[in-house]
Amino acid sequence: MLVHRTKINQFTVATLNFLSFKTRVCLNNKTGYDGLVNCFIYGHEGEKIKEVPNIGKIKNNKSFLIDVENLLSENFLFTKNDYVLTFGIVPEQFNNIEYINIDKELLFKLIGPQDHFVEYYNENYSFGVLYNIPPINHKEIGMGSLLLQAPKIFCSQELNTRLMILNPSAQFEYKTFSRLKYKLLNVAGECFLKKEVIIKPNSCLILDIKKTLAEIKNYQDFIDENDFCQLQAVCENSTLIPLTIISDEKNNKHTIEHSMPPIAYDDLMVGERKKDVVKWHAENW
Amino acid sequence: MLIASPVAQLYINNEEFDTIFCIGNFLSFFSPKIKNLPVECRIAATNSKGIFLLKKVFELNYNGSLSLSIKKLLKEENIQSEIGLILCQIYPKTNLRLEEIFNESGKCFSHFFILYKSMTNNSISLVHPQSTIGGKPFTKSEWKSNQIISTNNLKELRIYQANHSETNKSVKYFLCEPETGSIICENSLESIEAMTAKFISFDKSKFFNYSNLCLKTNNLPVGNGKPLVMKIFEDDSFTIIHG
Repeated sequence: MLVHRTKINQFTVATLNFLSFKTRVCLNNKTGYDGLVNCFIYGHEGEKIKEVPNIGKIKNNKSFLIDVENLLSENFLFTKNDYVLTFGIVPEQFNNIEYINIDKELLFKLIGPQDHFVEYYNENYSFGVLYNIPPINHKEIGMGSLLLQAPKIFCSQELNTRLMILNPSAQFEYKTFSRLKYKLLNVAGECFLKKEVIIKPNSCLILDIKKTLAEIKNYQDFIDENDFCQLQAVCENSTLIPLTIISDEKNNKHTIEHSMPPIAYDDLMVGERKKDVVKWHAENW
Repeated sequence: MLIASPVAQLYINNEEFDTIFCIGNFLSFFSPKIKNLPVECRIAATNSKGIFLLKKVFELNYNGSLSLSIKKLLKEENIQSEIGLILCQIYPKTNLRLEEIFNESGKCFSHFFILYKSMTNNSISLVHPQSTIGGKPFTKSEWKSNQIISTNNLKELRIYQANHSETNKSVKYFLCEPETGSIICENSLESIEAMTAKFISFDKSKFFNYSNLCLKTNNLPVGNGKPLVMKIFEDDSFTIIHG
């Protein structure tokens, strides 16, 4: 299959300027090869703004630190806007080839679990997350799906939870509008809110749970004594990256964590079985 | 279907901190056609010596979930314990064979999330557990965190280490210069008892000359038993990241 050289090993992050935090990224190269780092910069709506073909060289088994504000300034972009950035590590031997004819085995070896790191910071505080394997979302390789149970929603006078949902792809011209169904449930398992949203290709959608809850009368009745409830979500037509940001808004303190894939809970939740469960949820939502 | 050993993560319970445990009934979410089957969420907690302090069972509904303040849970049982492990296993409540009911399921791991909460300055940190009790052995000569630790406004770096294994373990921690890997300073946790957690601190006098750090260890108690890295800032707010 043909894969664009910049799409072999990717790490996608969204900036959080709307929370008054800057962004820095640490890429870790465990591909087995020295590589060159590139970046695609999109708006939060997924519109492509700029391609930066060469940010620097990353040696095998080494890390590479990128200050996103500097990168934006160097590329004459307004640093107070929010962006989605997809960084790529291109193994050096592929650097002069536009599309690489690559088999699945080598592609997955190069994608591998890299554990790249994104951190958000201001002058006093920082918070971040390491996460692993990016979605492929490639028509020839597979689009995948999202099956998310997130028992980690906290909302109170002080606390808010936002889901940051990213829709990247290993496809150079990615055009999939992903349909995400989500619901909030109380600890008894009763659904009290159900919604559907579209996540544009290469975009970032911020689901602000507190704002969503404000639509419901007496939403506090559905939150338990620890300010907790559960979110479940399903997306049939692509794999998405869901990151959870919990915020103490009064003190401007935040925390971010990735989700656990279904296979982490049940080691046979793959292939046809996962597809069946995704289909069941989508039909019975 | 097989139920894996309990998943565990460390709790912190003192004047400064509470730990909120939260889990969903993932069995009903991933096997949604199986309804009307009660599910038990079995919780246990150990103390700083790895001794079991309490065992409790909570029933989860179909698509239900549970959150627990560890501070409140221990207080209700009149138990004082500042650090230890919280263990969890979700189990279908049935006399029938699980293989027959969950005939498509594999080995199930009861992953939960932990929210560490400050009682005084409103910092919060959400993490997932890394390992089951027992876990796979650590077989490498060293472990290196992929996190780059900026020292900006940092007062202290605290490393929390859970020991998910069933024997005592010792771990040496090295703060290193990220570019060269050269060691700036080191500290160690000697003989962390099985099934508990301990922490060590690096104060800023050890690293104030460096803008970025990385963390290495010579060992981990189990294969995926990465430490939690707590950054404590000058205003005493904190953040915790696993590994």
